[in-house]
Amino acid sequence: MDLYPLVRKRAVDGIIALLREAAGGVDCLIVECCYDRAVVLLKDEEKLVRLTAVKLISECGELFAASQGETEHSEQMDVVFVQLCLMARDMHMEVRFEAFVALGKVRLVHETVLLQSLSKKILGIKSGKAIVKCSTKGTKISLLSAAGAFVHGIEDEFYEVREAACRSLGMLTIFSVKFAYEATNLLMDMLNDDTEVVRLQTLQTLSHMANYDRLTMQDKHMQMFLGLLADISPSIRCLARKLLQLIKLPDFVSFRDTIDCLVSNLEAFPEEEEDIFFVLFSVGKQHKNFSAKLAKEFAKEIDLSCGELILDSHEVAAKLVLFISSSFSNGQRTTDIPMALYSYAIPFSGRITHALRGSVDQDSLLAYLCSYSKEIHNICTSSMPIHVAMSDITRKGNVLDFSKILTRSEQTQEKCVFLNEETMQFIKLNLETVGKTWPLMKSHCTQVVQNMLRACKEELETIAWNADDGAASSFLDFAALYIQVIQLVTEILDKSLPKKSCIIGMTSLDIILERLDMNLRRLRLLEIGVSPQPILARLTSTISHLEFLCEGPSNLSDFAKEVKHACTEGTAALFSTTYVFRKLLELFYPEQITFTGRFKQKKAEVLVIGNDSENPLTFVSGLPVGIFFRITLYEILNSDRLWLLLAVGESIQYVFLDLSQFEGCDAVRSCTLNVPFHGTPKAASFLLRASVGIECPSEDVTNHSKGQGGPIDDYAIICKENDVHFIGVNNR
Amino acid sequence: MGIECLVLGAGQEVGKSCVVVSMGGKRIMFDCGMHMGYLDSRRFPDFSLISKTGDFDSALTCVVITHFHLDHVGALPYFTEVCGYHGPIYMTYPTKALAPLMLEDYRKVMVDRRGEEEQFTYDHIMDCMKKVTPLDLKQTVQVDKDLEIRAYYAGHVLGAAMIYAKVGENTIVYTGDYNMTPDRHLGAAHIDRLQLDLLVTESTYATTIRDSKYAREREFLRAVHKCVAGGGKVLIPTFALGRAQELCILLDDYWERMNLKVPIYFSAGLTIQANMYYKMLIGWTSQKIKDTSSVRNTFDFKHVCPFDRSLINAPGPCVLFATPGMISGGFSLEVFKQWAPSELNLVTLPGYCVAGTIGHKLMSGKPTKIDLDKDTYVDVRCQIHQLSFSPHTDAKGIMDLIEYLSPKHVILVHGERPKMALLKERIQSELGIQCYYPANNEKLLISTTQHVKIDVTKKFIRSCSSAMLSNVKNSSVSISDSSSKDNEIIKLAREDTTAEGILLMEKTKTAKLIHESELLRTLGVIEHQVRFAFCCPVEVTRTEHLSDEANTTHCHESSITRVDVPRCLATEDRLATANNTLLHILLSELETRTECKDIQIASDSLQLHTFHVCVCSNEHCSYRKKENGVGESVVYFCCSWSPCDDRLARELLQIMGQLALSC
Repeated sequence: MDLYPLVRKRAVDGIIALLREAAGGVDCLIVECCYDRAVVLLKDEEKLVRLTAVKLISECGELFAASQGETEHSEQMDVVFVQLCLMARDMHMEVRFEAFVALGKVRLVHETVLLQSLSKKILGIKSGKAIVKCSTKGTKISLLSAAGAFVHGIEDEFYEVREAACRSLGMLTIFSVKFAYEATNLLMDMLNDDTEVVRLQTLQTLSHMANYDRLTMQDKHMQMFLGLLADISPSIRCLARKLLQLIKLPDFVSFRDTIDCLVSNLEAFPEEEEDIFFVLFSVGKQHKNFSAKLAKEFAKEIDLSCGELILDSHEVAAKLVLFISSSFSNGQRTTDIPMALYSYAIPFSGRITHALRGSVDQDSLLAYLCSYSKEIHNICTSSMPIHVAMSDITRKGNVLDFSKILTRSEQTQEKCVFLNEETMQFIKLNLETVGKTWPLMKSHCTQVVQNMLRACKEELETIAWNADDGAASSFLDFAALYIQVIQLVTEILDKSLPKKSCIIGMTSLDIILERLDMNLRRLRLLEIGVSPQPILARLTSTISHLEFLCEGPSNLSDFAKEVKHACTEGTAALFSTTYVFRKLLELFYPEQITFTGRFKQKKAEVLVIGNDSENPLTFVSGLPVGIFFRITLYEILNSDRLWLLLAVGESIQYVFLDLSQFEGCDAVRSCTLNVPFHGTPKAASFLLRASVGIECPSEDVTNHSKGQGGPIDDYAIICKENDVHFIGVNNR
Repeated sequence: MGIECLVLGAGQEVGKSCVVVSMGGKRIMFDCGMHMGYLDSRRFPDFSLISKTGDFDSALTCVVITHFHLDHVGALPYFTEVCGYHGPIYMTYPTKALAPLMLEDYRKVMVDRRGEEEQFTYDHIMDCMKKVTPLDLKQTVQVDKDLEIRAYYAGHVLGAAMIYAKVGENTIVYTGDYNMTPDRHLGAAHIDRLQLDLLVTESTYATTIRDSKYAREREFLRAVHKCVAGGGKVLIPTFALGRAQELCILLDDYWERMNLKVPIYFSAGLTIQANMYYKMLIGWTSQKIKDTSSVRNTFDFKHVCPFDRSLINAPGPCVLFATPGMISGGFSLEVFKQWAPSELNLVTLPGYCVAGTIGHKLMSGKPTKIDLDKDTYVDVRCQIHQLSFSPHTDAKGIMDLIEYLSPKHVILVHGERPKMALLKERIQSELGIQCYYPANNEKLLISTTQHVKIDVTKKFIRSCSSAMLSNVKNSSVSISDSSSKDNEIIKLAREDTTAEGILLMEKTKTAKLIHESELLRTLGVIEHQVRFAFCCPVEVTRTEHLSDEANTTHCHESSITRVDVPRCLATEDRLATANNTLLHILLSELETRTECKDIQIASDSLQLHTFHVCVCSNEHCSYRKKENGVGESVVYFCCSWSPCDDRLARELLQIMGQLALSC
């Protein structure tokens, strides 16, 4: 009662410290006495005193609750709760904040009081006893004073208060199901708050509730909640999705809405694919029946679209993840989900496993997918032996493939009418030849195929010599690469055939595969607007995965188990390997032909200013040397990541090219750079090879190079190598 | 002493707020508004009630305006320029900036469009504004020697304030319009916990309890988003100040979060000007806007661009803010005519529309056809969404404010009569505060309790606290002993400690509270004591005188001094010694009889508490009872005692009376 507020405040602080120190060892009556003092001080004129008084009340409340033991609720706590609710309407932000923090710590409060704090309107009270309570000293407070404390809290002017109110709401939901249900309404409103911190806290509160199984989503909430997936802040999106995993969705409609939202989420933020896949996977796992239902609808759609499934679309990717998840978890297939979907999902295995963060490894997933997709073949061929079925399908595939390649060249022709007639003729012819090689290849006449392809290649090279037109040259480049790829594929096929694979050393196969990989990457870069590219890329990743499969009988024991599972008759490990491999080829190859747009070649020119073999640059060994480059880029998009590669012997220095330094548009941009080269060797003179590489985001995460400072993903060289000549200072 | 409250406007109605409060010889006019519903003399408050002679300068100390709405400021130019008030006028900075805009806009509408006789001119407005003294929040302004006023944040609209006024001991708060919940651009009302005699509060929503603002916002946003997503155009007719900004912030924020690209347009005119003021007066907005203003001014809307007439029929979705709010004419009507026939489009309506406007027609049912005049009509196929945003606090907010301030009296204004009656009942029953809701031109006298300041001496304060401390000390010894003792402490702690003191009032000085012990010294008076006295005869049987002497020498430590004293001089001395001996004997006798060890012996007297005993040598002692047969053997002992020890004394005397001493 001192005259000075700070003295009063200190006194209350002292009592709090004392109570804390005693920690439960204090007599109940003393606590009550402290509480009464605090109640008086709640009306203090000075906010500091009110603030500490609130703290004291909260402290007393905890001690009361502790002394009550396990009882359901106590009237004393009701009074404490109501007192704090009253303080939640204080005019000072600090006091309100403290009041809400304190409200979160209160326990053993009667449900009606809790519910009242959520509604500004006076709730009908069935039992008359709840209306007026007397505290020990006889001060009357109506329990109705608690009305709407939280409603005020969540629309407070200060985000600190809103956040505290939100957190306290979450803590109180543990005590009452009904309260939790009502609180969800308020919390859902808070998802629309204008402060990010509050939205984040709301989500945390909701997940807290979900953890305690107190969260029931209603239809009207879902709309609000799903809106959050489109939030501008990544952390909120992430948390919202995390919460989605915990939620039990009420019905199929909201389930479908959720999935749709996630798909559009994926479209809008492709960089979050990993996380979204993970969420889809767990959502699918939780709602098996819903996803099976959706899968059926989806399969129907595919049927209607005559099986032309564009695997590249985000929607398809997302849905496939969802479908396989529902049956994957328990290891037994849910018959409701159409088989075909499993096979479609195979190319995503890499991405999915990555998204699942190690809970599933890629091999088992792949094997799992294969096992199901295999069953389709079984169904197709009824009871025929597997290899017969295989060849059958292979033949069908060939026809398909061939015809499509033909269409391709026709389309190509249409598009490139402006090109040199003669050149086109050649190319067309060549592509036709390539098409023809495919059936031969399948029938193991690899030698013949090799020859044919070689001839094609030579022809193309001759054409390329003559043609200097930009568009044509890039098209030629493409064709050449294409043929080269096919050639490599043939080679691999040849080498991995059962009979020979034992004889041929694995190393050579490795090399070929690597080259294939490289070429495919370059191929991909060449084409913008040519849709087969991702499929080819995926083929690459799958093939490079198969590289692992093909590593000879010695390594197969592990994988054999999975393969055995996959192939019922595959007693011979080697045979099954080939089988999987071939089957995969079958699966992917026919997909690739659709052609739109015109070719654009991504390429770069690097020019070293003032340097040739006659005028070498000088350097001091061990010190960095600056080199002037004139770099011109063609058809490079802003999203591309380019690296300047400076190679001396085996060592390569990577320099990231910031596209903002370049002038010009996407089509052509150029820049002059002074790049320091650090690794000057101890030599009288040396030759530096400069080139520009572009990063290719690869689906196959296992192949990520972990080099420091270099490109994250694999890269492909998009320019001619340039030599830079150096000479030591002393030797000049 | 009391507070006299004269309600000139907004008594049991909404419109022309004007309350004149007299206290401590000062007269303050709060608000000076006009009633929008009347066009005759009832439009303005009846100023003649303030002063019959029209000498307002001497009748009023000052005028305080809470915010720029016309029902709070509308009559001010009339009052100052036409009626001739020249005293001080106070309003907040934003009000001072925005009020002339509102007044001029109104004057133009009234005079230029409706062709009415003007009540005041543009010059009047400007002259009036020159007299205004601006106020800042929480700035205490000393109007004159006795009167001080202070403004507190009220929410409601930009620059709205609650006014605290104090004259001597009397304090009142006039709230004006206020909002207890924050909205997108303004904060909630904020006031200190003051000791108040009177609170004059608005009661627009005396019985309504509103839902959370989130629900309202959500509905609005959903309606707009749905319409825009469907390719429709949204027309939001608003008033230029206030709601327009709030909705704009809401939409701008939503656009930002949801990454929408649909354009939002603001029609030119007053709104642009108002936006500029909002940008400048950012300190008066909500916390969130203030916080972010260092990074980005919220009123620099990212997605909002000015509208051009050519865009009315441009294809594609858009959102347009247009004035006036009730589609009563002007630009919003023009756009409405164009957009209403398409069912893709959406028109939002403000919470309240005056009867006769298109807004009102749209609100009442869903018409398919609206006649503009005799021969033109508009097909209405668009969707209608009614907004329920309001800048007034609801019933709960009013109750919360009253409970927080806990004034001694409450006056309700600015509301509807039946609802005010209900609210009054609630205030009186739930909060136990006297409440009134006077009608217009009614005078109300509120008696106030007078507080007197007094001085207190240090000693008194010390005695107060030491009283408490000693209580605590006493009990702290036994704190661990038993629970019954604990209860005592708790009782002590719970009971309000009372202190005793004496109130001293002197002619020229302020009253003083002093401690009891200080009283005599302060007054410069000697203390008087009441004592009872009785000269009690006691039988003494004398034995041997010499031995007595020897005894005394023997038993007294002072024997040495006695030896030094010449015998001739010792007659008196001897007498004293004899008396002394007698006292000793009496003492020992009393001790044996009463078994009391507390009796103390001084040089010539015995003492127990206030009870004194000495040998009486005065033959004519006035306290001596006249007894006839008094022998030689009787020695008189003169006793005196205070009234408090009366019982004890009488007991002792009784014992003494029965004594028979022997020496």
